[in-house]
Amino acid sequence: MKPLSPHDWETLSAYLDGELSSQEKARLEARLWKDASLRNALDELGRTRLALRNLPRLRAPRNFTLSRKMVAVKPAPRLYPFFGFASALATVFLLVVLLMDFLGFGEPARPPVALMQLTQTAIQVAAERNITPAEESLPAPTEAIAASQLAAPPPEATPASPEMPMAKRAASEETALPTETPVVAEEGLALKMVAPETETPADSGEATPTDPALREGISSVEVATDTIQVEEATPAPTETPVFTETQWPTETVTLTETASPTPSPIPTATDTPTPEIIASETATEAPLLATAVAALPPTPLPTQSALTSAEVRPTTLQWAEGGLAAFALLSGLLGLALYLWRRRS
Amino acid sequence: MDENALINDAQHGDLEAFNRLVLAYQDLVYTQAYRIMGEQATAEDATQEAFINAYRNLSHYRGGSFRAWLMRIVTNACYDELRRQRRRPSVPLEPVDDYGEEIESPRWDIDPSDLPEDEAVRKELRSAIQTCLNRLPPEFRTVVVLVDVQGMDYTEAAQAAGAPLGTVKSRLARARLRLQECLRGFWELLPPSYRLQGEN
Repeated sequence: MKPLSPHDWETLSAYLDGELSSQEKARLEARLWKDASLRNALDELGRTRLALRNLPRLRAPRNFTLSRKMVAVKPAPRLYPFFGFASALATVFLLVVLLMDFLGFGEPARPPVALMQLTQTAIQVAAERNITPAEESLPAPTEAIAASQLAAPPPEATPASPEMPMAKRAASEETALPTETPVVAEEGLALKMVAPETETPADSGEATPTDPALREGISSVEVATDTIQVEEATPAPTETPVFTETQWPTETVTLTETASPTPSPIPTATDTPTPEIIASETATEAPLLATAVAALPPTPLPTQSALTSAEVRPTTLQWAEGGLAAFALLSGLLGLALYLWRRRS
Repeated sequence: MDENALINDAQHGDLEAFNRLVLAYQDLVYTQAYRIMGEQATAEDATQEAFINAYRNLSHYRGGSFRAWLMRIVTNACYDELRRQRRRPSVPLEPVDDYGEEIESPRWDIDPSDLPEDEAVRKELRSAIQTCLNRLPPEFRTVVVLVDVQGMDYTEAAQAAGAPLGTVKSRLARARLRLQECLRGFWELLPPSYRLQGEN
């Protein structure tokens, strides 16, 4: 006798309850007529069903009517809503503090770290070159120079023939360069730099392009002219770089600023023409930017570790963020625990 | 007063109207609870809990078969009670009968000569069926009680069990098959009149 499949039992069960469609019913009755084992299975299932249906309906042992006291809603524990509200409130405050932090409120006044690092770099470069500032005190560069230097792209050192006179050289460069704005050489902007004889390739007659690191340092000093009083700089000690006028001709550095295709964001592009800085031995009254570099007091510069610790130290807002996040999390978890405990009980 | 009016009044907070519904349905609800739980005390607890839940959630009743809605609530109350029992299992000290009265002479201790034959056999058959019902998984037990004991059709049983129609159909067939296997040995002990009655 072939055992019936679960589907066969399901069909027989539904047949007993009259839940088969007419088509299914006709198909099953055709099988029942042919298959005796299927008929036996149907009989046995019918007997079980009948026994179940003959079970008496029980009478309730008592009345289950309700009283007002039975249907009164149990008051919820007081702490659960409190913690839920506290968690929500802390979350709102946390969002506010995060927003304030994002917008930059509450930041402590920090020294211009990047600027001072650049200045330090400039000093180091100058020290490596063994450059000493001039003996005489020189006026500080004007703000216009600083602004124009800052606004313009890094100047390219134009190689020039050492035999050519300086003024003539400047003129030739002025005509040779395809600039849209006139290039002006200002005497006041002349930069005098002298490298030691041993390091100067002037003997070979070639002009050395300005060191990019040094130019970067000088630019940073110019940016800092708002805060650093270069005029008050005293002659630097002997170890500091020194610029001397007499040694200059061996190395002439021409810093040429050409007008870039994109407009300069600094308003001096319209008010004053883009300056061309020419290191000239004749410009004795010109401000020596390197002197300013050398005149920077070495002690106030923050060390690297001091800078790092200043950056790592959390601010008040960060403390608030951490505290609020911890409070919101704890109160939320407590509220959830109370809620689950209430449901279990 | 008709059922819908009582339900409507109860939905508006009329506890007296709801208690009239309780009186009308308490046998049905208790039977369902007893057949699922298999003992009187827990069946009573489940029944009381079901009526309290029904009153509190009466606003969620959206029409249809009120009986099926009540059956669903009592079935859920029974499942909760079964889960609690599983966490804290306990064994009753004394057996009780269908009506909650302590059985001084349980089925295994019955002397058929003490009772009229028919009554003794009927009582034994009911006990055997309840024992076999208790061995079924609760989901199967619920469906077979709803259809075969309470006499619901498949649609109403599906509503009361909170299961799709196909699931009800399948569970019912498997429950009947298991009960048939459980009761097979018992049929041989029944008098021929009962066996013939079953076959008819």
